[in-house]
Amino acid sequence: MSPTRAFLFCAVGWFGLILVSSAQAAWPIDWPWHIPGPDLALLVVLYLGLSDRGGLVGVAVVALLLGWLADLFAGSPKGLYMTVYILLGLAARGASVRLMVRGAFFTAAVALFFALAVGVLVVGLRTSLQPTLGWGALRQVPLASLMTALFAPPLFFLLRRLDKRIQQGSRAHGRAAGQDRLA
Amino acid sequence: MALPRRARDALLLAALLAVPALVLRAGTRAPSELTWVDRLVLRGSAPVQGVITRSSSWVGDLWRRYVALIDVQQENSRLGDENARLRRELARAQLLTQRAGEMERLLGLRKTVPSETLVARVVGVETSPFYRVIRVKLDRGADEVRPGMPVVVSAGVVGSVRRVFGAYCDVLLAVDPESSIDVVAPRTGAQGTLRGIAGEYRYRARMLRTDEVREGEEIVTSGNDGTYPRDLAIGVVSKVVQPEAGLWKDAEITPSVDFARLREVVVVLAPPPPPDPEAGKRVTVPHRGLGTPR
Repeated sequence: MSPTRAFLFCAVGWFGLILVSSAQAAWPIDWPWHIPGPDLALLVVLYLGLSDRGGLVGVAVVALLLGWLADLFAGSPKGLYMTVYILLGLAARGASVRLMVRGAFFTAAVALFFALAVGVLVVGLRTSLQPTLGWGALRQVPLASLMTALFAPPLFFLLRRLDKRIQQGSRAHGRAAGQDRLA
Repeated sequence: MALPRRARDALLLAALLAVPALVLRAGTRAPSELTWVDRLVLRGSAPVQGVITRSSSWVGDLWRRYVALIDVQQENSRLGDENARLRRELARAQLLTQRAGEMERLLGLRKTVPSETLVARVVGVETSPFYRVIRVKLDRGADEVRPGMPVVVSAGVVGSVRRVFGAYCDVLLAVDPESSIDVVAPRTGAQGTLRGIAGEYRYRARMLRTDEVREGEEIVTSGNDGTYPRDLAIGVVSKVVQPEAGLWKDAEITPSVDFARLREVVVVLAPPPPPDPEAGKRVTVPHRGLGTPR
């Protein structure tokens, strides 16, 4: 994975975290219902893991950075999301060998599965580190995963476009460098 | 010696997995601690978050104030209807209170009038501009009502029954020029005949030129016409037209009754006792012993 791609995807994940955090803060308190925000950083890691571009190490590095940011924004113990996102990235990369994620419904379904897994993993890790917290947070996992899954198709679409731009840019850069060498 | 790519990746992955595990271990022990990198990232994110939060709030407010106004409109409509209903009920209660007051005054009047009376409800007013007539509905005793019977309210004289038909009767108001009532100024005893002024809701009393009457003076019925009981309020003198010569003078009188607001009236059934022609003339000599008066 090129440093540019890694940086851009980290930036997208960071912006996603800010966006969700701000939207949650701006949610009207007088509204009777409150829904959890989607985990956009998780979707970025998932996209990177499922895409056939970039090496495993690159995905893990971006997952590590996004996990670190997620920990900062979530207020969770540092390293919790880092660990989970790295595992997610590796699992997604493993799944990408057998999965061809295309179409909004299938994308959402895959995202739902991984989001559920991440939710359970986060709650599990948290409870294993701090047993007093209990497993009650598992009740929020389905709805949060559903929200994440709903945002997966549009975000994947945007990330694919971003990937194409990066590819076009690198090809143009490569051609220019080749012409320079020839000259 | 260079490591094969696979081995290098495996080592890197192991390191990458070890890092969060170590960080997590440290983070669990001291969750509030932040490194300078953490602070840098958070400080850099906070302004962006602030801008987005403000923008989101603005959009949210916009939604709630304008787009979600459909609910407010419905609520406003419902509250408007409720307000209108309460206003109607209030007006009705005020009207009932007013009527109760009127009824109380009429009840008091019935006690003061030395004749049998009937209460009647006004159901209509004149349709011709040339007559001052109201139509009243009698609740009972319609067969006892005869034309010419006086009609009064607590504020004073209303008029006299003009015609009777079934449970209804037309009352010629005292302000009609056809009406004629004998009146008196209680202060001086000046007497006169009261008639309505055509086209107006006022009276004109014709009195002897030598009689003393002045503006602001109260005028009441004298009872001499054999129709109206005495001492019923007529109105207040508003203007005295004193001619240079002649036998009579006119006094314009503002009615004490508000003819536009008549709701309930009292019909005086029995005529007042005829005035005693000897009143004031006969001298009663007190008798002494067993003798008869002369």
